[in-house]
Amino acid sequence: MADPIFIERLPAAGHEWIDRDQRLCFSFEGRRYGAYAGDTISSALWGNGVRLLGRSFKYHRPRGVYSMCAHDANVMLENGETLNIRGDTTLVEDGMDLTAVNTVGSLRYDLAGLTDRMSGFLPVGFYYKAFHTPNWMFPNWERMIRDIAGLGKVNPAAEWKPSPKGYDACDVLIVGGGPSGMAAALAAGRAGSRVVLVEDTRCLGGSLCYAGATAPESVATINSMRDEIAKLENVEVRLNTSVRGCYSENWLAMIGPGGMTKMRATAVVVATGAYEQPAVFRHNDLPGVMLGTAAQRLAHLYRVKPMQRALVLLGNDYGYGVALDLKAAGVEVAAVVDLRETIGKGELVHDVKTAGIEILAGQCVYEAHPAGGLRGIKGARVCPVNSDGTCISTTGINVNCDGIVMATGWAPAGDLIGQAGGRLNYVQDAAQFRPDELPPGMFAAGRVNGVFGVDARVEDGGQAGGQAAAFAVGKELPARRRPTDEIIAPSHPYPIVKHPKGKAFVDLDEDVQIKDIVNAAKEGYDSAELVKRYTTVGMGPSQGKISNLNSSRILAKATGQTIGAVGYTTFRPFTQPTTIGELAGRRFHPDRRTPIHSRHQAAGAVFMHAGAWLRPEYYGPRVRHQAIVHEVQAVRHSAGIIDVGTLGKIDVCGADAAEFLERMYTGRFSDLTLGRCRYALMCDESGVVIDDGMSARLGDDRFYVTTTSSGSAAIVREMKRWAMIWGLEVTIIDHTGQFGALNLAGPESRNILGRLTDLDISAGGFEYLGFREAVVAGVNCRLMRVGFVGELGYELHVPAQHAAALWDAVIEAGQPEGIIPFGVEAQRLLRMEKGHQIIGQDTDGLTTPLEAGLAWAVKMTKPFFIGQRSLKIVEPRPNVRALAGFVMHDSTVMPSECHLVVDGDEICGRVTSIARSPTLGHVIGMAYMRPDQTTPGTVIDIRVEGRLVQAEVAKLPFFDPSNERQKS
Amino acid sequence: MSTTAFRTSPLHSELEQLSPTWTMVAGMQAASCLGDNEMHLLETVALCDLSFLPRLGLNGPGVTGWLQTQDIEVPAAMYELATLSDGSSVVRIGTNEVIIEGVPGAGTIDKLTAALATDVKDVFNVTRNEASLALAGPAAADVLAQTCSVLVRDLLEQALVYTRVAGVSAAVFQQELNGCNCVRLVFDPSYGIYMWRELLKIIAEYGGGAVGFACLFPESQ
Repeated sequence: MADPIFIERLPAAGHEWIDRDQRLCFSFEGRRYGAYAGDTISSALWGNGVRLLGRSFKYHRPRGVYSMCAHDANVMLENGETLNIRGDTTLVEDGMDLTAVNTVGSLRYDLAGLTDRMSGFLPVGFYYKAFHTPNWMFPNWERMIRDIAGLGKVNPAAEWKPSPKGYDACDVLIVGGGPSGMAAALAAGRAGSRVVLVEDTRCLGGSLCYAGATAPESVATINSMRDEIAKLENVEVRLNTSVRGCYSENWLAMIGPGGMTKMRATAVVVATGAYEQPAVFRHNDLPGVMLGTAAQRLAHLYRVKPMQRALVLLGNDYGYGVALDLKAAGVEVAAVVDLRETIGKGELVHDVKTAGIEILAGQCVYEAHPAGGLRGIKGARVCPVNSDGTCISTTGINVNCDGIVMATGWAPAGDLIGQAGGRLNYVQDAAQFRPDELPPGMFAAGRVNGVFGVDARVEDGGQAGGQAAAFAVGKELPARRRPTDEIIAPSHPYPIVKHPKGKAFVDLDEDVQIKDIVNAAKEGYDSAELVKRYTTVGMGPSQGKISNLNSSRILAKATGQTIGAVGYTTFRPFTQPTTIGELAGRRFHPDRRTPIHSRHQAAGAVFMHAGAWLRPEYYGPRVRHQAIVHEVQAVRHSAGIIDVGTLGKIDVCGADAAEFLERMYTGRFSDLTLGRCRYALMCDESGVVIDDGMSARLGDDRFYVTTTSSGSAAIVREMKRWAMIWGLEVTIIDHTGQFGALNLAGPESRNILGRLTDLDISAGGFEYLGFREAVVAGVNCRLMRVGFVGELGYELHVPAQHAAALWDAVIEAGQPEGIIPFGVEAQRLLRMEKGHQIIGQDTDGLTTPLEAGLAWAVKMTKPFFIGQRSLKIVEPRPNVRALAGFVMHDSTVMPSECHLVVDGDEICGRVTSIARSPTLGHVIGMAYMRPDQTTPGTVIDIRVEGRLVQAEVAKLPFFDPSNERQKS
Repeated sequence: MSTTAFRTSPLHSELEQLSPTWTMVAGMQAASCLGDNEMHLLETVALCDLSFLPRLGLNGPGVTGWLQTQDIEVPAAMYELATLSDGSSVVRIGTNEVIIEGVPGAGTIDKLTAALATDVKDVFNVTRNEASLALAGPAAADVLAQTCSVLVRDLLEQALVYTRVAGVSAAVFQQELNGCNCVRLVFDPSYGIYMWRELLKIIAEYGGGAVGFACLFPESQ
């Protein structure tokens, strides 16, 4: 490949941001270019003579450098898997392989550029009117629009790279490292506050870094303030960091080199400066037309000559400084076009006159003259203009130039103020918005506050910093006065010139033109918010920072309102495009493991997520179905062991423990005797089943209850809440994570357990639903004789750090019987054979115990329990559904959970659990159905993928109806 | 049968992969050393499993009074930590709730556990089998800041806070161990492996890694 193109820059200057000792090489649209370290992509390309950097979103018009400060939304690039890189602010990296997004074919020959020629047929809002008739065409339109729209294509297979997120806090956060921000940092720092000063570029100084002739004292000012800040240990400077969002209580989201920081500041100084605003005229979007500050950035920071021959269009004295900067950079300034009829008498104006630059006062740029198929400009027509943007004559004069530089005014960078709930008011004299009301703890300083002179900005920042420091420590705020500012009206009130042929762009992101705003007003969209929605002005990546003010001006004129009445659109985070990766951060998704997890891994478990828990679904190496059948058969014929450490495990202690549980659960506890356990069912206030488990009495004032795995946290929370409300003497101790638990089940389980404990576990010594505390395998255990899976079984609960040892001991002791671990799926099948419900699977958010067949667990005669009042209301009424079992002898088509039980056109219920029982040899299930359908033998219809299959209602439990096995 | 089984750290399987030197402490195999590089890691940031430290939870209206009879003064303020004469720590986490954490060689917890064997009115023994980690080294604050909204500089001496670390509820406090400032994290053991892995990922970006407990408790060797 050929050597990269490398065009030399302007002579080195002390304040430049490029490192001429480090040359980099990158490619753009298949062509290699050279760059210096410190170059942005746009500055490097512009420095190499490349003028076509991107295409616009809608009309695919050629675009070049415009702002050089993160608003060049049409210069979006792709580098491998990284999309939407902003060329104006992203630094060149060696080896980058860049292509422009949003092109069809190539950037230079973009086939979608045809839309520009058809733009007359594609005004804003046409999509609202065009694509809904006829209805059948809409999907096609939608597909086409989706294909065309979007910037870049996401590669779903791209490697995930974590973007860190961090937390931080400070007394005073200062947003913006310009003169006012630095002054604020110094004032707050001297007052002893812990200050964080955030600057989104690579060095402090703000606009003074490229001020040139507009602020000749800038270098000295910056250096002295930087030196003093560096000496303050309590002031931390964060460069290349931008504050993207401001939320309540001064909680700010900042993006920097280390990812996102969530900063909590006691006080915030907003010293974010101002966005320079463009003029609007025909072809004001083409490469070569740029803001004055963009030209200054190119010339001063990157030492790139912005153009060869410039026409400077200005509406304030600042523009004269820009003209001088251009001349100093070797640009031939063809003329200065001052929109004002009366030009200023300041020093800059004098210097321009002295430099021999022609000044055309009371004139405007009526249109730019395109060159090279819109890929640049070759001149402009200058015409006389009124202050309201009306051309007095359109004949004017033609001026040859390859660049038009606009310096017509500013809009405050007040995004954070707006996000925090502050208000901006339009100040007629200054022709711009200024902060009016600020939320507590937020202070504005500098150009965002409408203060433009360098000395005035420093003074304003110092005052704001002093106030912020006082606020941070709760002191009375020192008085503040507005500094005397030498620049009275830095913005032209209407730098907008209509052209009968259009293509005068208000918003370059979305290709919104003057006529679009006017048409929107004619259609009745008379507020800034409505016009934004209708025209999409301000909805592009730069979020209206260089378009909203002009849009409001046009709307105000079109509707006869004041700009203040038209207002501005709502400021919402983020202030700059922020990647999903930055928002996602490291993606913390906690998962829980039981203390026996490593044993399951060793046994070949295939894990499943059960809420946050990782649980063995089944154990390999058998395939899923075979493994489940194998595990079920082991439990039915010999012994199996399952980890039930995920269950909620709670101690309820205190003198009122029994009374408390009587109120929390539907059953009785006061008569629960020591050494016994009992099923416990919990409802909410509406009588809906929310949880179940086992309860055991450990002592007169101490109970142990278990909850479902997914419900434990909520149940503990509810218990603590009710304990406080009722004022009972009760202590809730959550052992859920602190205890491991396992269930040993099967006809051989007694023999196995007997080898590990001295406890009398004979049928008479430890009967069904008994509870004991004893040492098992050298571990203090809580034992419950329960039968969830319908077999003789023991649930053993132990401190988590002993659970693995107990598991190992049980497995070893059960070797003669061939004990194996069984997983969640086998347990589900076993319990279904026994007709035991799982709360949350066989119940839903409306199920009462009366419908779920759990009325036996509800003691309505108690004085009170949660949900009792509701159940008393529904109890006399007939159930509308009931849970019942069913069997299927022909299971050619097998329903799934949630398939509907129907009767003709009526939906009667749904399947809640279904599986093929290896024990019974046919499909069994449970379903909600009409109560009259629950009679065993009734045939019900279940709708499966549009067809009906038949099942026969059967009595529960399907297996061991006399419960002999679990009670044995 | 008597209680003879060993305790297992919730991080045992993770530590085992690091080929540790195991040392039995308070009935648990604890990783005392994970390699020769440990002192170097402590100069940046290191993660150490301290789940072997015995802990005793006490709950109930009689706790403070009963502990006084055992010559243990419970801090009056909530979440205040006090160090006992044998190096154990005691913290009040509720009006009637106290946690005591031992150190290798200390006898307080054994003594209290024995005393609790006889029924003590209004005092309930609460099993405390948490996972316990130490983040040690100068970059510990940065690692914590990436996972938790409570910053190290907000942690007062001799006090703990309950907060969320990497999405997990945890007690966080500062402790100096062997002259090294540590951020201690104590949390539900079921999150142990998750937390260990997440923290190690972040720590690795700082050039840190896992260490055994001996560099923080050298006298226990």
